[in-house]
Amino acid sequence: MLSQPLYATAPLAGYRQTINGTLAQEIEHFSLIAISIPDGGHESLNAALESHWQLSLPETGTCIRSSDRAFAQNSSSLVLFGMQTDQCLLVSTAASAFEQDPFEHVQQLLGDAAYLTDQSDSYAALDIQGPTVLKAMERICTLDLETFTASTVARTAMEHLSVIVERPENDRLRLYSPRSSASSFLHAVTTSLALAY
Amino acid sequence: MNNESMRVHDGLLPDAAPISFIFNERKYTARVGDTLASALLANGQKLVGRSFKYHRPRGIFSAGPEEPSALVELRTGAHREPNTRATVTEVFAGLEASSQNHIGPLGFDVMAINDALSTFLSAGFYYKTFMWPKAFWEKLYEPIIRAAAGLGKLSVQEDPDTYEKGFLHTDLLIIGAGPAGLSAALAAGRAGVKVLLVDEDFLPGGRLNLERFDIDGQSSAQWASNAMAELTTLPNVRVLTRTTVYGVYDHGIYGALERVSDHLPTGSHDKPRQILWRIYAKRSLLCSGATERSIAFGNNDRPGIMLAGAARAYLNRFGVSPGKQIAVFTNNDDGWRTAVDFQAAGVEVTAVIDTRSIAPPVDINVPVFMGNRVCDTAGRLALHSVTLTSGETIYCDCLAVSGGWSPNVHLTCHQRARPIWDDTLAAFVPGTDLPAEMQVAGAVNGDMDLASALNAGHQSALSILKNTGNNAKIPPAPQANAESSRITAFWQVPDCLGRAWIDLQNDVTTKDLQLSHREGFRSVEHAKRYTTLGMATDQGKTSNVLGLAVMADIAGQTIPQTGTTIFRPPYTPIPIGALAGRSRGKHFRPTRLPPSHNWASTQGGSFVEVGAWLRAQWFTQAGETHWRQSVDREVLQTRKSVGYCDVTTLGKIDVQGRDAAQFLDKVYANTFSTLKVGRVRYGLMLREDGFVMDDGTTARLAEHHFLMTTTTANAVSVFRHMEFCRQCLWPTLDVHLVSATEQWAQYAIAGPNSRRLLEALVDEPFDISNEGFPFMECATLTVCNGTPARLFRISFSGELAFELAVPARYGHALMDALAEHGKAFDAVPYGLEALGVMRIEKGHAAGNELNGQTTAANLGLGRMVSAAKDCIGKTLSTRPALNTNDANQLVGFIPVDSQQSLRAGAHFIDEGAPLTLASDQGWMTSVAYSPSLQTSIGLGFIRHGQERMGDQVLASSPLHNEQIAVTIVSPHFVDPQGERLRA
Repeated sequence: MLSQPLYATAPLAGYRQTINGTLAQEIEHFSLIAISIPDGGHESLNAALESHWQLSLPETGTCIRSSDRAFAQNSSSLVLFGMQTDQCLLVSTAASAFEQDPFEHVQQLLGDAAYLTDQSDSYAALDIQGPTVLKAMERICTLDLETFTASTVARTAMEHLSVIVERPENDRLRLYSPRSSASSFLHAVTTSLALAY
Repeated sequence: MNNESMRVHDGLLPDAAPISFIFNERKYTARVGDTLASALLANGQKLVGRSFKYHRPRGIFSAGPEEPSALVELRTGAHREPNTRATVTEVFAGLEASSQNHIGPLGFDVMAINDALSTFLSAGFYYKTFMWPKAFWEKLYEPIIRAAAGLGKLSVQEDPDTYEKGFLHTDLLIIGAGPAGLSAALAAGRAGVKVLLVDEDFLPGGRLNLERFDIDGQSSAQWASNAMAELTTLPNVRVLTRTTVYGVYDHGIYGALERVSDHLPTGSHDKPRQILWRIYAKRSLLCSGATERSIAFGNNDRPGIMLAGAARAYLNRFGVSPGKQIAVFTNNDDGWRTAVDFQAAGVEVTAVIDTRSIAPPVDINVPVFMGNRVCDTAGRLALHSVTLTSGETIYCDCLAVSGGWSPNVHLTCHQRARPIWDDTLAAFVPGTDLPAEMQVAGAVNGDMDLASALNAGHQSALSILKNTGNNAKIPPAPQANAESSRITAFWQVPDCLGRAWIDLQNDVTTKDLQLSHREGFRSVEHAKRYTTLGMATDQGKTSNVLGLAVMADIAGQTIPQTGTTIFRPPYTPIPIGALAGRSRGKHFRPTRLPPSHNWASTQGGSFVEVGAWLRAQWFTQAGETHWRQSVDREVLQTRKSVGYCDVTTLGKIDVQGRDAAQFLDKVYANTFSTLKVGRVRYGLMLREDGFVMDDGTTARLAEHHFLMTTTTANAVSVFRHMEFCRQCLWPTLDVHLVSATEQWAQYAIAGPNSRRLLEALVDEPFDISNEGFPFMECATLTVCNGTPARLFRISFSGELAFELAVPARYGHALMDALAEHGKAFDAVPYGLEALGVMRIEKGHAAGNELNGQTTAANLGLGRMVSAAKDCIGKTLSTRPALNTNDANQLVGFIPVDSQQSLRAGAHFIDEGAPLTLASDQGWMTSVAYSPSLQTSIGLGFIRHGQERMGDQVLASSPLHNEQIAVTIVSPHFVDPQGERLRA
């Protein structure tokens, strides 16, 4: 018997709400791939990244955005997060990236140059943009987000939850937190937005 | 009187809107910008409470956070908050306040009898008086004492308010927006420094708003207002008002409480009540000012007696006169300004009494008594007159007392720095061992006059700019006159007839300190605890130095010889609600939900917390009234046909690298380098000490790619352990770890029809037959028309079973698919409870058996510790004590009487043996009712277990007064040969 295809469920059920003038919306379509750098393979991986996406391995705490339009819809939609000395995350939020399986695509391109682990389903992603973004985050984020630029990324804790933070624009943050605790994460963020003043 | 008859001019509230509030069920009028204290005084309400122990009438003593007497209850119902200082409470329309600590009306407190009995109620009286009968202390004496003494009462309802926490970062934290703080903030702010200026008042300015000074040709209050206006326009400056920095912690971290909406009517806003800020500051400048103190003289606690600076504050800021006839009692020049200001406001000043035998420092047209003292006062519920040591009686309804000023050094002491005594100031000033990167400026540093304070703030800012390489040109410091603040220390009027209070909040008098000294409690710390001096909400802000000075007098020592006061956080009281923040109720911690949670919610699932996870425990169907019915059905149907269960919560760790296999050989007791690609192996992990740490299966997905599973409980600790091993023990290995727990929704499909159910899901051409996909095999495949998946032929239930994993986004849909295709087999979802029953029936160890105190040998897995290789824990697992002949072994137990239920935690003893530790042979770890065997069954550890099959022992639970005869059996109750799972 041929089974019906499985449907996908977004961790935040497609949440989209404006709170105190700031829009919070789930990023439903994104891919997030952990790239581990083989011991001694830094240069070859850098070359592969450069060759395929004009990217290079970022320093820990920084992110590098691609200008490759073949893979991503726009230049800011493919980003490499430097998470630790031998690991980074390749993140794409472009819907077009899903015309084929991003993990398979990256795997084909990088081959043995990196160890890859698909993390696309590991996270709930929330984009918040508006005038109260930083004020709201003051309530739950210990980091000084004012110092963040478009080239900064960090993994931190908010309300006991692991969260990856990037600031693509001054009044905009993208937050990635584990999928299983997505409802607690959303509550933490939206409560902060509601109580920001 | 409720017509603000004591408001003699507009003060700083000329255009303030009139509002009304309620005190003790009576309506009063006030102005926006009033404190509760100023509003009460404006209405002539001097009596506002009763004292802690003697229930003496008490009034308003200060005008700030140091207030020891005017403690009130605010709001009503669940919002009620006791012990709130009227002096820092902003009045708002509709505020309801009431006095506390009295029985009957405030003016006629029944408990005032305590005052007449004061001879018997000296310091520590309860230690001496209520010695017998011993049992009465907890049952009778203490409850009565606590009911009689105590301050306000809690609502005993859940706090309905919202509290927040927050985190701020700044280059320069300025604490206090008085003369020094504002001056420094202007200088640093104009230079572009990222400044956070924090002030506890709702009107920044500190004493600039309380005095009639001039700065740069304008009134000090106007200058403060202009300074604030400028600061709020600077993008690099942030100002927090109504915020108290209450503590200094390591690494430049400061705690602060912002009272966001305490001044707003309940229900009129959507803001949190308070925010507890953690401030990360590269540098700080403490400009916390100084607090005035009193002088000890007879009956110096009556309503109407207040600090001289406070009297000025009420007059100059709020336009309120605390009395119609003001007398001033001082030992310093600052006190004289009170007389000058009141006279200028047209209020009668009946006398200035100065303890110093010098020429009057001010030419003022009022009766002056130099070298004289107040020795007693009169007035039952409010001050009527004072008596001088020279015999004169001065009629006054307000006595303004100034015993000098004590710098607010508290925050400098929070990291154990001790303040230093300054004879010139007759006060402690900050010591040299300040918290890292903290500077002090203004009155807190002994810069008592305005000109010095303004300049000190400015210079401190310049110094910080210089140290940080900031060369910005900024305007010079603001200019003001330097007023005189000469003082000759004078602490207590000797030989007074009445009691002389030192600590108004705790009813501590000079006699209490004398008693403490006589009874040997002479050190500052001992005297504090014996007398309660300096305790409670004010923490002795007006009494500590005075008490220390009196102690020095009694001991015939100097103050430095007697001791110093030192302070710990918090500077002012912090509500428990603020410390909790949002961490209340279900938001106390995050909740983790497996991918099937919503699906399970619609299928009658009952949930249980497993760590942070919420897991389905069982699925109730129509007609089931007891959880056992559901669980038994789930177990029986799974063993009969097929069941499916969400096992996503198991930890999953992606292990990749050229040395991944070698790495796993080191962290696991058994070997993984020999595992073939596409195969799965059970693994046992030991701690360094040789005990079992965790277990699970690990699949080899590729030559250099493994997927490890851990128990749910140990997912984080195992990952952390492996990262430590990777980074610290074997950093040269090429191995990389990524948690994959969240990535995959993983379901166990178990039972004789599990393969048939899966056949409906897996895409061709995958061969799921026993030959094509045998036990302990794994594969990457697609299901349901192309969804990527992983399949593992493993079994926790003992049945033919698989675990199917799909990306988490498809987890809900996969449960739907399993349910839909399972209908043909009467498939059932099963929960954690049925999972547990089946694993006990199969004899699999789980958390109860892997409790950190058991070894591989205890579990019957000793042979898994490979002799052919080394691994973590191997060496210490060979310790003789862990390998004795009588070691515990994991076995099964069934009750001799099958109607009896076993109990986990019961200990095994021989029949007839005493219930002692010496008789103990082991313990029951896990029990369940087995619907398959229709009896209670258990797993447990017992000495020589494997050699004692068929023996009977007693499972004893002394806590439950229960002993059950049990038979020792194999732990494999179901399918001991493993035929089903290999079918």
